[in-house]
Amino acid sequence: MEKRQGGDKVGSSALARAVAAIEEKIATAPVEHAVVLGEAGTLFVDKKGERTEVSFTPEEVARMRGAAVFTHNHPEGSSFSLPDILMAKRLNIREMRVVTEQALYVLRPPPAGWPALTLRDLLRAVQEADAEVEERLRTQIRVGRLSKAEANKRHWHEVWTQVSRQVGLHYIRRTR
Amino acid sequence: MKKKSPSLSSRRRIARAVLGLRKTPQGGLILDERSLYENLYAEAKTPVPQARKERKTA
Repeated sequence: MEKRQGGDKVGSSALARAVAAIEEKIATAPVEHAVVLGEAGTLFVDKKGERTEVSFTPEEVARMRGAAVFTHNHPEGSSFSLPDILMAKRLNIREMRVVTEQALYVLRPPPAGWPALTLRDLLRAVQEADAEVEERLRTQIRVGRLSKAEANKRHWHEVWTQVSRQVGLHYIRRTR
Repeated sequence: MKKKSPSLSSRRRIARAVLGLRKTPQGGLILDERSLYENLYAEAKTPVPQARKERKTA
Protein backbone atom coordinates (compact mmCIF):
# COMPACT_ATOMS: atom_id res chain seq x y z
CA MET A 1 0.00 0.00 0.00
CA GLU A 2 1.54 3.29 -1.08
CA LYS A 3 -0.92 6.07 -0.75
CA ARG A 4 1.03 8.87 0.82
CA GLN A 5 -0.22 12.00 -0.87
CA GLY A 6 -3.94 11.76 -0.17
CA GLY A 7 -5.91 10.22 2.66
CA ASP A 8 -4.63 8.92 5.94
CA LYS A 9 -2.93 5.69 4.81
CA VAL A 10 0.75 5.36 5.55
CA GLY A 11 3.75 3.71 3.84
CA SER A 12 3.96 -0.10 3.68
CA SER A 13 1.10 -2.35 4.71
CA ALA A 14 3.11 -3.54 7.74
CA LEU A 15 3.50 0.07 8.82
CA ALA A 16 -0.18 0.84 8.19
CA ARG A 17 -1.24 -2.18 10.25
CA ALA A 18 1.09 -1.26 13.10
CA VAL A 19 -0.12 2.35 13.13
CA ALA A 20 -3.80 1.32 13.07
CA ALA A 21 -3.32 -1.09 15.98
CA ILE A 22 -1.44 1.50 18.06
CA GLU A 23 -3.98 4.23 17.40
CA GLU A 24 -6.86 1.96 18.32
CA LYS A 25 -5.14 1.34 21.65
CA ILE A 26 -4.17 4.92 22.53
CA ALA A 27 -7.14 6.90 21.15
CA THR A 28 -9.05 6.97 24.43
CA ALA A 29 -6.13 6.84 26.87
CA PRO A 30 -6.30 9.49 29.60
CA VAL A 31 -2.62 10.45 29.22
CA GLU A 32 -0.46 11.06 26.15
CA HIS A 33 1.29 8.16 24.45
CA ALA A 34 3.76 8.75 21.64
CA VAL A 35 4.85 5.98 19.30
CA VAL A 36 7.45 6.44 16.57
CA LEU A 37 7.89 3.92 13.77
CA GLY A 38 10.22 3.26 10.86
CA GLU A 39 9.15 2.51 7.29
CA ALA A 40 8.67 -1.25 7.82
CA GLY A 41 6.71 -0.74 11.02
CA THR A 42 9.81 -1.11 13.21
CA LEU A 43 9.28 0.39 16.63
CA PHE A 44 11.71 3.27 17.28
CA VAL A 45 10.19 4.84 20.39
CA ASP A 46 7.19 4.12 22.62
CA LYS A 47 6.63 6.65 25.40
CA LYS A 48 3.92 7.29 27.94
CA GLY A 49 3.56 10.86 29.17
CA GLU A 50 1.23 12.99 31.25
CA ARG A 51 -2.15 14.48 30.40
CA THR A 52 -0.63 17.16 28.14
CA GLU A 53 3.07 16.37 28.02
CA VAL A 54 5.50 13.72 26.88
CA SER A 55 9.29 13.85 27.02
CA PHE A 56 12.08 12.11 25.15
CA THR A 57 15.67 11.33 26.10
CA PRO A 58 18.54 12.37 23.79
CA GLU A 59 18.81 8.73 22.62
CA GLU A 60 15.12 8.64 21.75
CA VAL A 61 15.40 11.95 19.92
CA ALA A 62 18.28 10.52 17.87
CA ARG A 63 16.19 7.42 16.99
CA MET A 64 13.24 9.58 15.94
CA ARG A 65 15.15 11.52 13.26
CA GLY A 66 13.73 10.84 9.79
CA ALA A 67 11.13 8.39 11.17
CA ALA A 68 8.27 7.33 8.92
CA VAL A 69 5.48 7.98 11.44
CA PHE A 70 5.11 9.75 14.76
CA THR A 71 1.68 9.08 16.19
CA HIS A 72 0.26 10.15 19.53
CA ASN A 73 -3.03 10.81 21.26
CA HIS A 74 -4.48 14.06 22.55
CA PRO A 75 -6.72 13.20 25.49
CA GLU A 76 -8.39 16.64 25.25
CA GLY A 77 -9.50 15.97 21.69
CA SER A 78 -7.72 18.72 19.72
CA SER A 79 -5.62 18.72 16.58
CA PHE A 80 -1.82 19.22 16.52
CA SER A 81 -0.19 21.73 18.79
CA LEU A 82 2.53 24.02 17.49
CA PRO A 83 5.20 22.06 19.43
CA ASP A 84 4.09 18.90 17.58
CA ILE A 85 4.77 20.45 14.22
CA LEU A 86 7.98 22.20 15.26
CA MET A 87 9.30 18.85 16.43
CA ALA A 88 8.23 17.08 13.23
CA LYS A 89 10.02 19.70 11.13
CA ARG A 90 13.13 19.70 13.31
CA LEU A 91 13.45 15.90 13.27
CA ASN A 92 12.37 15.54 9.64
CA ILE A 93 9.52 13.17 10.55
CA ARG A 94 7.69 12.08 7.42
CA GLU A 95 4.23 11.85 8.92
CA MET A 96 2.73 13.29 12.13
CA ARG A 97 -0.53 11.89 13.45
CA VAL A 98 -2.80 12.75 16.36
CA VAL A 99 -5.58 10.45 17.37
CA THR A 100 -8.44 11.41 19.67
CA GLU A 101 -11.61 9.67 20.72
CA GLN A 102 -13.47 11.24 17.80
CA ALA A 103 -10.94 12.06 15.10
CA LEU A 104 -7.65 11.33 13.43
CA TYR A 105 -5.43 14.18 12.25
CA VAL A 106 -2.60 13.61 9.79
CA LEU A 107 0.02 16.10 8.63
CA ARG A 108 2.86 15.34 6.28
CA PRO A 109 5.24 17.22 4.02
CA PRO A 110 5.15 16.67 0.24
CA PRO A 111 7.10 13.63 -1.10
CA ALA A 112 10.15 15.84 -1.65
CA GLY A 113 10.32 16.51 2.09
CA TRP A 114 9.63 19.40 4.42
CA PRO A 115 9.39 22.66 2.48
CA ALA A 116 12.47 24.87 2.66
CA LEU A 117 10.79 27.05 5.18
CA THR A 118 12.51 28.98 7.92
CA LEU A 119 11.16 28.74 11.44
CA ARG A 120 10.40 32.44 11.20
CA ASP A 121 8.26 31.97 8.06
CA LEU A 122 6.40 29.05 9.60
CA LEU A 123 5.71 31.00 12.78
CA ARG A 124 4.53 33.98 10.75
CA ALA A 125 2.07 31.76 8.86
CA VAL A 126 0.85 30.22 12.13
CA GLN A 127 0.50 33.64 13.76
CA GLU A 128 -1.57 35.01 10.87
CA ALA A 129 -3.82 31.95 10.76
CA ASP A 130 -4.17 31.89 14.54
CA ALA A 131 -5.25 35.53 14.64
CA GLU A 132 -7.73 35.08 11.79
CA VAL A 133 -9.23 31.93 13.31
CA GLU A 134 -9.49 33.56 16.72
CA GLU A 135 -11.35 36.54 15.34
CA ARG A 136 -13.70 34.40 13.25
CA LEU A 137 -14.53 31.98 16.07
CA ARG A 138 -15.03 34.84 18.55
CA THR A 139 -17.55 36.35 16.17
CA GLN A 140 -19.39 33.04 15.94
CA ILE A 141 -19.43 32.77 19.75
CA ARG A 142 -20.71 36.36 20.04
CA VAL A 143 -23.66 35.72 17.75
CA GLY A 144 -24.48 32.42 19.44
CA ARG A 145 -23.49 30.09 16.58
CA LEU A 146 -20.69 28.35 18.44
CA SER A 147 -20.02 27.38 22.05
CA LYS A 148 -16.72 28.29 23.69
CA ALA A 149 -15.92 24.60 24.18
CA GLU A 150 -16.46 23.84 20.49
CA ALA A 151 -14.40 26.87 19.46
CA ASN A 152 -11.59 25.70 21.71
CA LYS A 153 -11.63 22.28 20.10
CA ARG A 154 -11.77 23.63 16.54
CA HIS A 155 -9.13 26.32 16.91
CA TRP A 156 -5.95 24.42 16.05
CA HIS A 157 -7.66 22.32 13.39
CA GLU A 158 -8.61 25.49 11.55
CA VAL A 159 -5.15 26.98 12.05
CA TRP A 160 -3.46 23.91 10.51
CA THR A 161 -5.97 23.80 7.67
CA GLN A 162 -4.91 27.33 6.68
CA VAL A 163 -1.19 27.00 7.39
CA SER A 164 -0.84 23.71 5.49
CA ARG A 165 -2.42 25.26 2.40
CA GLN A 166 -0.17 28.27 2.63
CA VAL A 167 3.15 26.49 3.16
CA GLY A 168 2.49 23.34 1.10
CA LEU A 169 1.85 20.62 3.68
CA HIS A 170 -0.73 17.87 3.45
CA TYR A 171 -3.22 17.98 6.33
CA ILE A 172 -6.42 16.07 6.90
CA ARG A 173 -8.92 15.36 9.64
CA ARG A 174 -10.92 12.16 9.56
CA THR A 175 -13.78 11.30 11.90
CA ARG A 176 -13.23 7.99 13.67
CA MET B 1 -7.17 46.23 2.82
CA LYS B 2 -4.92 46.74 5.81
CA LYS B 3 -4.16 43.53 7.71
CA LYS B 4 -5.24 43.55 11.34
CA SER B 5 -2.43 42.96 13.80
CA PRO B 6 -2.79 39.80 15.89
CA SER B 7 -4.52 40.23 19.23
CA LEU B 8 -2.53 40.09 22.42
CA SER B 9 -4.04 36.70 23.27
CA SER B 10 -2.97 35.34 19.86
CA ARG B 11 0.58 36.66 20.28
CA ARG B 12 0.81 35.23 23.79
CA ARG B 13 -0.62 31.90 22.64
CA ILE B 14 1.98 31.49 19.90
CA ALA B 15 4.81 32.56 22.20
CA ARG B 16 3.74 29.98 24.79
CA ALA B 17 3.26 27.32 22.14
CA VAL B 18 6.79 27.88 20.79
CA LEU B 19 8.12 27.40 24.31
CA GLY B 20 6.13 24.15 24.46
CA LEU B 21 8.92 22.37 22.61
CA ARG B 22 11.68 22.47 25.18
CA LYS B 23 15.12 20.92 25.30
CA THR B 24 16.17 19.12 28.44
CA PRO B 25 19.65 19.94 29.81
CA GLN B 26 20.76 16.48 28.62
CA GLY B 27 19.66 17.19 25.04
CA GLY B 28 16.29 15.43 25.10
CA LEU B 29 13.00 17.04 24.11
CA ILE B 30 9.84 17.82 26.03
CA LEU B 31 6.65 18.07 24.05
CA ASP B 32 4.61 20.25 26.36
CA GLU B 33 1.18 20.86 24.89
CA ARG B 34 -0.42 22.71 27.78
CA SER B 35 -0.87 25.82 25.65
CA LEU B 36 -3.12 23.81 23.36
CA TYR B 37 -5.58 22.88 26.02
CA GLU B 38 -6.17 26.08 27.88
CA ASN B 39 -9.54 27.60 27.34
CA LEU B 40 -8.67 29.93 24.46
CA TYR B 41 -12.10 31.49 24.34
CA ALA B 42 -12.80 31.84 28.06
CA GLU B 43 -13.06 35.62 27.71
CA ALA B 44 -15.09 35.65 24.50
CA LYS B 45 -18.31 37.63 24.62
CA THR B 46 -21.45 35.53 24.34
CA PRO B 47 -24.93 36.68 23.26
CA VAL B 48 -27.06 38.27 26.00
CA PRO B 49 -29.96 35.90 26.76
CA GLN B 50 -33.27 37.26 25.42
CA ALA B 51 -34.97 37.27 28.84
CA ARG B 52 -32.26 39.51 30.31
CA LYS B 53 -32.48 41.90 27.38
CA GLU B 54 -36.24 42.23 27.84
CA ARG B 55 -35.92 42.90 31.57
CA LYS B 56 -33.41 45.68 30.85
CA THR B 57 -35.64 47.44 28.36
CA ALA B 58 -38.83 47.05 30.44
